Amino acid sequence: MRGIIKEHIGFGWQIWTLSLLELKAMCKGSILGFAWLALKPLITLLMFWFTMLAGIRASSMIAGFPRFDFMLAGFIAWFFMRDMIIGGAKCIRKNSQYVTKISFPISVVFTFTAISKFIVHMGLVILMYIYLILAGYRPSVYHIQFFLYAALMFLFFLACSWTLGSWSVFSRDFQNFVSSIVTGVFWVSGVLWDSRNVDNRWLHYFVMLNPVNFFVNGYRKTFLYQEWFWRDGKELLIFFAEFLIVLCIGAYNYKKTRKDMADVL
Amino acid sequence: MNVRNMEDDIIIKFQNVTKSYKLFKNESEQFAALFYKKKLLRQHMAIQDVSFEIKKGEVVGIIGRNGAGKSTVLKIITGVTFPSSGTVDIHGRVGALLELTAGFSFEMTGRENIFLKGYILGYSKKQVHSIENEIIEFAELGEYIDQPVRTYSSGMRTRLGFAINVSTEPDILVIDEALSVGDSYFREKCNQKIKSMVENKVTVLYVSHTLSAIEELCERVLYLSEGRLVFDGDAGEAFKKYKANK
Repeated sequence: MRGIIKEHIGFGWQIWTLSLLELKAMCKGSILGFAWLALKPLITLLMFWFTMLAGIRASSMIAGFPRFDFMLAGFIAWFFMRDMIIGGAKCIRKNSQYVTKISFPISVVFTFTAISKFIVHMGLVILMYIYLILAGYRPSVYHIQFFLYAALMFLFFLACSWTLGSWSVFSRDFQNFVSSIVTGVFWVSGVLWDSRNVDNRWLHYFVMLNPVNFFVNGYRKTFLYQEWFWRDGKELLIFFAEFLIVLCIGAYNYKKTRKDMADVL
Repeated sequence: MNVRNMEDDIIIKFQNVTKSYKLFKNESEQFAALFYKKKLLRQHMAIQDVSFEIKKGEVVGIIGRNGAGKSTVLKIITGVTFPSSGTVDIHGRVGALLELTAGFSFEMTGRENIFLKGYILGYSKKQVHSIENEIIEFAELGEYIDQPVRTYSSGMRTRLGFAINVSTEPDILVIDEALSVGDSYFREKCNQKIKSMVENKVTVLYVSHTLSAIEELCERVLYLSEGRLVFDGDAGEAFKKYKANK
């Protein structure tokens, strides 16, 4: 952990430049360019909304809110998490020139990849907020919780990427496994459905252990439910325990594999 | 007192350095080895028990046949790869003319790449500004400097890469046959630049297969064979051994 922080010292400018570069690379070669970063998630969201309403004929309200708004808050968080999981697993291989060609602090690759995704996320959040205001939600003091949840989400999935990315260097199969399991994570997490409304006691615990739910519900608490994050102490405690574990495992795996990465790639 | 000064002058120090590459049957065994000790398929010893010291301002050639471990030594010096055992001490900034286009982003312009590379090497914005013009001038790119690097010819890319690497004022310059790219005019210009850097007490490590190129620059030569350092000393004698072994 200390090693990772040390690698970042004096790299402020570079990280920012590289993040922007990564961002540029994400949408190069298309006419609409940056617009795709917002269009793609919007299309996904509308498709799911249509399916829910027209196909499954779910009620148009969920948890006391319009289904679209409910899904919007969840999806915005989910898109970031999805990008972080897939991007985090891929990022070292994608930027292998920093590993095999020059001496470069590899943990910085995780950071600038994450920041580039986070910039996109912030853009989407701003769009969502404009929509919510137009839809009649009033600015409220609960909204400042967003910064807490966003920061935690960034750090949590950055720490995840240390493990996912390091292992992916050693096995392409693992990288493919991560990409393919993401869809599964989406369905077992309460992005489309309300994970707070689970009756079965065992399922309830299972749902609570899922960090994706922590963030999805966190965004809903912030923008829809108007609830403070400390109201559910058990949930908070479980999350921080998981965060600590992910952090330790990530730092351990990174340290263990860092020196071998150049030889493998 | 004298001894102490001698010690201070040493800029690169290899002590019993060994580098082995682990070879696995396939990727899944390589992955499995992360979690439990597994019998390796084979270990390839790239270099074995190599020790040498290089003083500040020395120009040292490294020769040896393919697979003798030359590139591994350079990679360790540039910090890309790490020794399996032994210690390596390096004092000062290393500039590498190994792969001149390493770290370039082809979508960005030449000028943006100067900044990117400068940042990666740990320069501040102001510092890059101060060497920007020197780089552009040396690379002779003219107005192409504001075009994306993907539109450059390979010669132009090499020129830019060379210019950036030598302008960042390294203490140690590592060259791996990079100069064989480019036309004879630019090659001559590069040689001149390297010579002027040598005069300014920059330490140079030069790896090449062409003996004449090494002869021109280096007095001392390290001769590697099958991962071992078999000779360290006068260039002429090293060549004799190298030729005799061929």
